[in-house]
Amino acid sequence: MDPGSFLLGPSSFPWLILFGLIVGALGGFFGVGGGFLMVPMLNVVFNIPYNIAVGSDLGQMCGMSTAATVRHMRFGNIDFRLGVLMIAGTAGGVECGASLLEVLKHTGQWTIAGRQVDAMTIVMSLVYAALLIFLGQAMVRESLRTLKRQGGAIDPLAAAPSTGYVLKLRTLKLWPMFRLPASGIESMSLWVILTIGFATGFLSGMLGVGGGFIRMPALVYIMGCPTVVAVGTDLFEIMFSSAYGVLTHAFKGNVHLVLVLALLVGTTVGAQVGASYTRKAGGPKVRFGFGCLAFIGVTMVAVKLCLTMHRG
Amino acid sequence: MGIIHWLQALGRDADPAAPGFQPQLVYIAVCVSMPVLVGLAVGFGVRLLERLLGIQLGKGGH
Repeated sequence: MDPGSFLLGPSSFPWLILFGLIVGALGGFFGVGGGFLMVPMLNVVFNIPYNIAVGSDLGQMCGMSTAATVRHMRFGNIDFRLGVLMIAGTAGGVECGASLLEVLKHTGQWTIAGRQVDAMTIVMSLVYAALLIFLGQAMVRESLRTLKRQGGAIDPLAAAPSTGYVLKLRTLKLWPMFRLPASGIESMSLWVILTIGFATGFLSGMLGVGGGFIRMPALVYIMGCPTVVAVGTDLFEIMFSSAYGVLTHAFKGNVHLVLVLALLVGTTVGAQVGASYTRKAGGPKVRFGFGCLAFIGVTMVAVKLCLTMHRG
Repeated sequence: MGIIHWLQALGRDADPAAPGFQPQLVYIAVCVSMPVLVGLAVGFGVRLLERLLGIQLGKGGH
């Protein structure tokens, strides 16, 4: 696929900016990068192949996270030691994820019920559908529980599990051990840090998602970072993982520069607009809306997949 | 719209479907540098705006 061929050109630019504005506003409102929504919607709405959508979304994400990192750096919200240690695992994960996507791209067509269907579209649609269902139901359940409780102050660290596998991971004594004073962590195995980095990097390289909904909770619940430091460190990590993701996808010809620019313009403005409305809505309602949005997303992906298979 | 045409032309040069596909160095460089430069411009631009207007837009975090 020629990255320059599937869009009409400058006439598509305003529509892509508008799309970036909407996704950016939703991302800013819900406090996430929006990658999990951006990639399937680029495929569903603009008919952009998944490999181009992932590569270009990583470019958009790189710009957004760079701007956010500059901001968090100013307020001391970043644990640089943790971030740098995690980069090695993240880079490996991004490379593996991007390579898997490359394999899918070259797999070609599968025959399902006598019809020829693009293998990459099927696999990516199913993975996104599973991810959106998992996210949606978790968010809706959690927000409804919180809304029932009504008015109680919610401390993000209070819910961090302190027993079972999480505690075993947090206290794993496997050399080399590192002290992370900026996060208030006395001792943490490098292997735990690398594993979390690899897992989130893999999702980033394959699906174009930043990790705001996986790495950030992992930093809080598995590693025990304070939430504000987890947000800042996560953005620092996203900046590197998305930059590396763009580089590796660029070598594979998966980055559409016009698309990146349009999305960057749209999401930068949209995120500011969305974030300003978050405070008015309140946490549980925002998370409930986020869950519903994920279900709308999965419906659109499913409809597109059915139409693709019907057309053969 | 000059920059859009230029970016589109760069994208056309990269044709991963072609056998022995090798992307141009300038395409790779723009892919990585454009988002980083826009991000830095926005990040430091907001900081400058805050300083000029004497306001603070928030300290980050959820």
